[in-house]
Amino acid sequence: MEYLLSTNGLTKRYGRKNAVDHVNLHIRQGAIYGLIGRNGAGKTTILRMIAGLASPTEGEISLFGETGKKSLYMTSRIGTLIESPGLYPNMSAAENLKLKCLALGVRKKGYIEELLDAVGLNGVGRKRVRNFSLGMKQRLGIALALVGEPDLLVLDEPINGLDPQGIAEVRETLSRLNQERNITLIISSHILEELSKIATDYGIIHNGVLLQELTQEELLARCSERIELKTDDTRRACVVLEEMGIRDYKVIDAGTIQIFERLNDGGEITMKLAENGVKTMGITVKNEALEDYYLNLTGGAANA
Amino acid sequence: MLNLIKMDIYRLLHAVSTWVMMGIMVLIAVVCVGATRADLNAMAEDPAYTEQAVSTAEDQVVYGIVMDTDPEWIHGEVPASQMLGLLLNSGILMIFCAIFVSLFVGAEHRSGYLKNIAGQLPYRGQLALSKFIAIAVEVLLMFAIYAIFCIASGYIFFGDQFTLGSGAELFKMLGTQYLLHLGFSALIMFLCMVTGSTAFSMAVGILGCSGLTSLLYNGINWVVQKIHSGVNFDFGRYMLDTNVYAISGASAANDVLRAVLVACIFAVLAVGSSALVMQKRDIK
Repeated sequence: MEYLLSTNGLTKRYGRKNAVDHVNLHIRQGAIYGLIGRNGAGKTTILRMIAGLASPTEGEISLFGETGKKSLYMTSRIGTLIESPGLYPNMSAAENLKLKCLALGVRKKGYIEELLDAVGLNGVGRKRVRNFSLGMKQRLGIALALVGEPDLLVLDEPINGLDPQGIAEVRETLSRLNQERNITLIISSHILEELSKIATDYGIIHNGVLLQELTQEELLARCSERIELKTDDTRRACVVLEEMGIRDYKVIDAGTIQIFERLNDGGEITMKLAENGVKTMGITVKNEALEDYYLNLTGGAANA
Repeated sequence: MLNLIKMDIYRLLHAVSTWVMMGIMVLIAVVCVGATRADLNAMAEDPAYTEQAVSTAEDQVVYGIVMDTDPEWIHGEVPASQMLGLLLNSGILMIFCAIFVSLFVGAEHRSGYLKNIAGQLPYRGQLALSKFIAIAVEVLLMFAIYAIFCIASGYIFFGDQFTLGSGAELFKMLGTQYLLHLGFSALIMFLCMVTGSTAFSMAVGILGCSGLTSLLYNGINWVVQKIHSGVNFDFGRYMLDTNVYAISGASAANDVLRAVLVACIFAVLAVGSSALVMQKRDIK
């Protein structure tokens, strides 16, 4: 498969420590790639290398099918928002955008107003950035990343500092950009549930190492739905389940069994257990949240 | 490249520091000429003061910003090229170049705006060159405003005594001093980019304009004399600040040529080094 962006053995070393350790990312054209990891996992370092702000110690990045020095000419097709937005506080929002338009040779009339409108900052173009709230600065940072109609947007924690409405608006804007303009997005975020509403692919980073890459479908399968059965006698319950032909189940503890098949047969299971004198304390259909999946994968459950 | 120059010129014109600097140039020009007039009046009233001023200028190394005055101006003509030359020799414009460049270059690093554009350029070193061109425009404006208001103040404070004098001499002196100040500004730009510190580059620039570097240059000359006794070598002749202090409208052609070469070499090395730093270093 042809990838819009891929990395091969990407490594960044600071002193003796590998902040990013031989990472192989694969990002499809048109995807919304969610990069997940705890603080200090290496997400920002990876994004900085992709955005051309940091040089890899080892490894290479393939951008739009080009590698090595040829890929340098592809960086103009990337828009970035890394950590906090870099803005001149004594300039207005429009002036900050104008600077980048000049740098990239963008001359379209009304372009700046369109960008401000797209991120929900219409009407504040003349306001000085030092008077902006954190959320407004974040939106302006996204607008700056959009200057020049990039094919790839690299966004590091883009919803930092936004209120719930702002988060929803940014999510809607990014979805629209992806669907209408076919812009590929790489988004890192700590708010995993929010990321799961928008991302089509995921990369899970831990201590600089890419633990897993998976699509939304694969993730859903792994955070699979199951019946959670609470009972007073798991041993006898297991016998009943075996007699019913149910094989895909797991005993969690003395009172809990997870069943991964026949998810619509909760009523029948309850009746069978009752016929065999096994009490059902509770029966629900559940699925594992992205956060739980991530914490289990990275061994962070102790901190949950 | 042209786009980056447009970006930096736009920022230059929209930066508060640019216009504050222009205002200060006007003020400094008027104050300098006024102070010169006051000094001449003091000399006219007290001949002993004149003798002391002349002997100080001849005998002692002076640290700080000092503007010399020609006692012949008490009663004689005051040519614009000579007066401007002496005012520029004081190094006062170098100080404002150091301040402006530190603020202008440092602002991009402090604000983090560099992150928005640096990654999208195949060769980030271009940013150093575009900044240098914007700085060249600002220094030119500073020179123009300073010269115009010095001349205007000259007519106000000196009346008929004040003359424009030789235009060729005036432009030769101004052109050479502009190149020297530009080379100095390039050096400050390099210091700011390497250290990422506005305060450090500004402090070094201001100290460099106050004559303290003569201690270093004398030290180097002493070492050279120890190694090769009898050699007539003056390290300061190849430094920016010493040439700024020395170049006037009456300077010999050799001295002017040396000053121009020194300015160009410093500018090329500083801009080249800045471009290399910008290209190789990770952007924070």
